Amino acid sequence: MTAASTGRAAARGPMRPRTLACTADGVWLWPGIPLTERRGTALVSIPLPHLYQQVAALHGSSVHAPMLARTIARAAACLTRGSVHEADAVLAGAPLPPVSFDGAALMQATGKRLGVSVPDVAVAGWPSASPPELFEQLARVHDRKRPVALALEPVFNPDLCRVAPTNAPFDPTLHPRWPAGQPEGGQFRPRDGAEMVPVQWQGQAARLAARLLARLWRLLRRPPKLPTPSEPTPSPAKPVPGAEGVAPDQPTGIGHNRAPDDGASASSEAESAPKPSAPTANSDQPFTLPVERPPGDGAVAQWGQRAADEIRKALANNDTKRLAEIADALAHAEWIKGQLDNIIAAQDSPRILDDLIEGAQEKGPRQGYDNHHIIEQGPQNGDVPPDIIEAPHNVVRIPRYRHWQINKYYRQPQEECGGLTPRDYLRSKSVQERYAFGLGVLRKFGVLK
Amino acid sequence: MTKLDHSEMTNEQLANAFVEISLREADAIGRGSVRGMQELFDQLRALKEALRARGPEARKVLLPLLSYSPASRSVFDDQAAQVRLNAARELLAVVPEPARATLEDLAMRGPSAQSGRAGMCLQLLDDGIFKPT
Repeated sequence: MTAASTGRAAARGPMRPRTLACTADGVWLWPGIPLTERRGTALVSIPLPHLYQQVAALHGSSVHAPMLARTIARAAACLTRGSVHEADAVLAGAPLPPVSFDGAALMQATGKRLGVSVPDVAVAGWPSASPPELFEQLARVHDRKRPVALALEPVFNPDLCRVAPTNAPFDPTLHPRWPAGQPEGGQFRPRDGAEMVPVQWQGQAARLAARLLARLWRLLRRPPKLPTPSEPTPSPAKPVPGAEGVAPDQPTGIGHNRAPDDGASASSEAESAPKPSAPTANSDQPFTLPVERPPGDGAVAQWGQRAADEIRKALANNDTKRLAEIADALAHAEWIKGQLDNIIAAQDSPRILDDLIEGAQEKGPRQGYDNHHIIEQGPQNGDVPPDIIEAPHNVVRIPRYRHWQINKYYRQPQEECGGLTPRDYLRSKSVQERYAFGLGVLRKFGVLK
Repeated sequence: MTKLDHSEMTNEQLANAFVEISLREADAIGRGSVRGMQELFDQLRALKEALRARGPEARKVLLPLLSYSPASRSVFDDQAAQVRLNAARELLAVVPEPARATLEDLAMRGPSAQSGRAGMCLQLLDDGIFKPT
């Protein structure tokens, strides 16, 4: 954090570090204090005394509360209309003085306590005689906001989510390293003056968790329900050492239009009983992932789908604490990072058929999604003319995990299909019946509205 | 797993074997093991035939499995849901109401694999294609 007013306020815009920001859910003060509340379908500013109390804690007593309230109200109106960009532009012009010295000290203490980055905003004024312990005590008030603060971290610190252009010159002053000869020589170190954060929140894992949470946050359909003060602060979910949830299998690759198949022999499959030491994905238990990559792409995808299911449940319950826990676990498991787009895409709500068809018409692939043929490609539909298989109305773009689930369903014998796989069951059906069945599958697997 | 001699097993032992096979089936589905899914389907079918041969009352030994939810850390949500799904399908002809309610619950709130299967089961049931016996 800069220790003097540097005129950075002139650099307004959505990519600036700031203490005031908005999401579709409302206007927020760093690290995650809501400045708006919902009344019916509308977002409105919180009452003036509360607004002043919250903002003045960071920006000092010179905050002009009525002017700020009007700005918040304008931003809230934009959000009610669904325009986050407009609201952001309104907030960029908020009449806020620089952060006070005491406010800066409080931000440092809060950031350290919650494990979130402190925005690099302008600071001005004079230090008070308040002892450092006071700020540490005040920072505790924000403990229960940790899930929210993690989710909003990239919003207040756009540097965390900004991707530098490929031709951007490397600036070593922005990325200092420990000197050679030291135990960590050559590795990146915090910038001068930067606060150290607890080790479990350092580095890429914490940033990844924050980004993941930020992506999940947008999926919440209701304003977040914060954990009650009595609830313990969620601790980073530690993978269970040596845990394995699946039996060994063979890597066979994850191909287009096909779920990863472990290729395990029938006999080894039948003898692969669930491991007693397997980590649980039960919602009553902490969500954990194996430390080591499970063998086989099928097992990796299986864990990804379990995570996606857990997230879906947490979103349905508006359980931000659980979301933070899952994001932590995912961020600390290097081997599952290739699945993150699939996990996010799996949270899509069912869509109308036209939207899914339109998606398939887009050029190029989209991370986390596949094109799916309603009447499947392959020899099982060899009697169907190719122009029907490839017709626009037969191809839809759907979340990859849903696609894999559907493919696996088609390949598994089902009691209700007379013990046949749906693929074999459909062989004797007309093209219309196959298409209707395919639409039914899309509906039941949560893709089609 | 070696082929079990179902005729020597009690109803409760058959129910335990039913759970074991269902747990493995969920794992095979999760990993996309086609051969595993096929073999476990066959094993389950053989077990169900043995239970059916003992009359409708014997099949009711599966009734507690409609709400199968072990506290064990070794069982995942999708595995527990697969036990419930298989039990519900098998009990539709014997105790239709709770069996159907279980399928509806899984279709609504189950893990994605079991939710889709429960939904399809209900659809084929309602369309008259699936006639539970």
